[in-house]
Amino acid sequence: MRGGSLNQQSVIETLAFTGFGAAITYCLLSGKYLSFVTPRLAPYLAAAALMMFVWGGMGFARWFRPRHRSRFAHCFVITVPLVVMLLPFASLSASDVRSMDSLNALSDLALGAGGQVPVPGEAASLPGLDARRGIVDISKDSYAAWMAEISVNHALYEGYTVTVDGMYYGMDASAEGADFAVERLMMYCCVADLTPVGIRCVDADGLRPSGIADGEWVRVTGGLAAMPMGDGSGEWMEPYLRVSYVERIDAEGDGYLYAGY
Amino acid sequence: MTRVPAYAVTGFLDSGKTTLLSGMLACEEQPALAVQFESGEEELAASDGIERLAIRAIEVERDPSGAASRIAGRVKAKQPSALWIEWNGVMPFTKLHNLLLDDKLRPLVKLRGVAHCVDAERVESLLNGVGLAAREQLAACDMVIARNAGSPDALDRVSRAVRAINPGAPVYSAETESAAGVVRQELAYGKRSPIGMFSLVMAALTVGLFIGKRLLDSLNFPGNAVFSVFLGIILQAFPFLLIGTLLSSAIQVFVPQSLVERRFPKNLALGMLVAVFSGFLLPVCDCASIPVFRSLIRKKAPLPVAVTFMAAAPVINPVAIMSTWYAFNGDPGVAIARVALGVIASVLVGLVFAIPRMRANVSLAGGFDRAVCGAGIMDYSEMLAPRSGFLDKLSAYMRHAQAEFLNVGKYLVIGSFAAALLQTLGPDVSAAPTGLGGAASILFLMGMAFALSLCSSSDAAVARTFARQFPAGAVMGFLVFGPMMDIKNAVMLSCGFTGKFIVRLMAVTGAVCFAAAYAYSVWMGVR
Repeated sequence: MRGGSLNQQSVIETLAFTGFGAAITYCLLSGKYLSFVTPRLAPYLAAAALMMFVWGGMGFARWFRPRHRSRFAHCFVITVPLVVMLLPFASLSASDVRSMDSLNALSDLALGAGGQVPVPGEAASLPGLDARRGIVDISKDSYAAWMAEISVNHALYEGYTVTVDGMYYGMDASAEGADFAVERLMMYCCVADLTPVGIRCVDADGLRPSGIADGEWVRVTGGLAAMPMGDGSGEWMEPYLRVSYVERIDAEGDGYLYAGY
Repeated sequence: MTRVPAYAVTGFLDSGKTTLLSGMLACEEQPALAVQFESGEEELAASDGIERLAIRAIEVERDPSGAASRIAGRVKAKQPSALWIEWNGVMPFTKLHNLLLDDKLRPLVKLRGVAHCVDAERVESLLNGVGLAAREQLAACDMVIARNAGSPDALDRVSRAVRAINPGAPVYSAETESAAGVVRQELAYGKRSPIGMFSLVMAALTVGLFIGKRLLDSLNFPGNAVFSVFLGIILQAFPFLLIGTLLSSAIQVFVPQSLVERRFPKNLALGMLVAVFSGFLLPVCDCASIPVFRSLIRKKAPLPVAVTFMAAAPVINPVAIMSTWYAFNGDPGVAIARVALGVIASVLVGLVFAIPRMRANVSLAGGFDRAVCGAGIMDYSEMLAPRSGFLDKLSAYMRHAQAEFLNVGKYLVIGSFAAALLQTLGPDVSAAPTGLGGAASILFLMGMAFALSLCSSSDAAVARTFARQFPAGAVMGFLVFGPMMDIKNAVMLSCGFTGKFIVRLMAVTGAVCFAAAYAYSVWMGVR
């Protein structure tokens, strides 16, 4: 070692790798990573953070090896995402996910939401079902499974009173027979593939709170029914809620659903 | 005591070092000391007030401390205003740097700048043929002076080679009358502290991003969505890029080129089979397959085989198969069709690159290791160090992986940001006109796959949402083309491959995937 002959590039690399590893670790421990990727990425991110710490440590070993020309631009590959991680983020709503905000996607995605095709009769094991009183109370944990169940086996529950929380999404004029949708965003791998999963709502009596905007959280209660829908590819029966009550509720964080969880 | 500024001139034999040094010493107004570690055909021009000292390279090799003592003794005796060094052309620059940091010399002298001389007519053959010492000298310099570079073409050729090894170093033509004066002035200007500059840029970046995002939010621009999608793609892609660079560096460091040349199947059909089978076994997305593809090319694996591997792996690996099966509700038909079309398309794309005309101008930088040299990340003293023991190799492996990760990673960051912008601000899929014909639908969804740059482990879920709006062939085009080629991949390929090759690869992949998806449409009875 030669005193004072600091290898400035190694110092910068050590700081960058260690900082990035620390940022990933913080995101994992705080759960902030769930706003961007699914839980199944957690072990991969943990391994990546570990490797960043190893590389940071290796950089420290080179601090006192002289180097005349030091560069640092390559470190922006990790320091730019590091700074972006520190930015405050608001959760996304369906109106942010422009490429997938078709109403068709709602029921389509519901099919795959639970990871398997629902089988009639298996819903008895889903939480929130009170068959005797004809009530379905859908919590966040059972949301994906219930959307899949209702989408495929809606005939079994027609007339049931369903209560569901989710984000409000106003339908446009072309969405025949529906006034709005209540939905949550489903993530398959990362926030880039967020897709709305939800159910149509028909608000014939104008019960919606005035001035409600897309992305606001609502609790909707209504009777389950089905209406005929069709396009060039065929016809089908589409489930919807005949709204009897709507209220604003506090936002559930980002409220994302994760496929397979 | 103020340390005497030292300026070094490096370069291979007969590259014009002595001529340049003579020119610069002629500009020197104060008494200076010139130390030559090389005696070439040309003598250093005599100038008033210039003290000369010659040290043979063999002295530095045998007794570096003695060489440092000789220079220190002369500096103490003459107290020059500057120390000018003509370094030996075949010795690594690291030896000079260590010499100047010797305990006897370090309190007296501080290295301020290094100019490297090259001959424009020999620069490429020199860098490819002489070995690491020539690259090491070039990588360590602050500027390059090129002789025989009077024409713009020659200067451009030198600039390209320099950019691959020492990005950011300015190149001057030695034919300019004032070259020596300009170089003298630039060297004396000195450098800012990299840590200080880095801190400054990071502070500006942090403040800029925080203020910028707040400003965009207040203007109702979807900055929140753009940055969220960008970070989502980065966080899901970085671990896979890491796996890819670790695999790719293992090939680079542990697998000798002779082994690849000897053991790799010479038969094209067998090679294709190996490539497809390897794709089945590699449970990673396209972020990992591109670095491995680069390594295969560097190790002289046949181009058609490497292309087939790169195209097949992201489509037919176990993760992609499972996610397709899962997204389409356990319907094996879609997953089977995706694998079958993926294999057919990747083999066809690979075969196109068996045509001699398609194999021209593939790699950048004349074949030397751009991942390491290009980024200027790796310390060349590490590259020159012997790699005999396992620990030496392990250390070299980790450093190589680090350099590769940072070098390819910058293209991933740029590609991810472009994809995030396009995904947030680009065309709305749901607004696509209904009733598009089979061919138009396929082209539309292939375009969307290119723009969205989704991970091949999750694209099936998005494709599922298109299944009602678009015919099966178009959805299959999305599922097969997207993992093979998207914005992120195209940008990542530009690290190591020529623009012409990337355009050819994109065009061939697009045409083959379109044909495969259209044939699938016909087979399914939907046109």
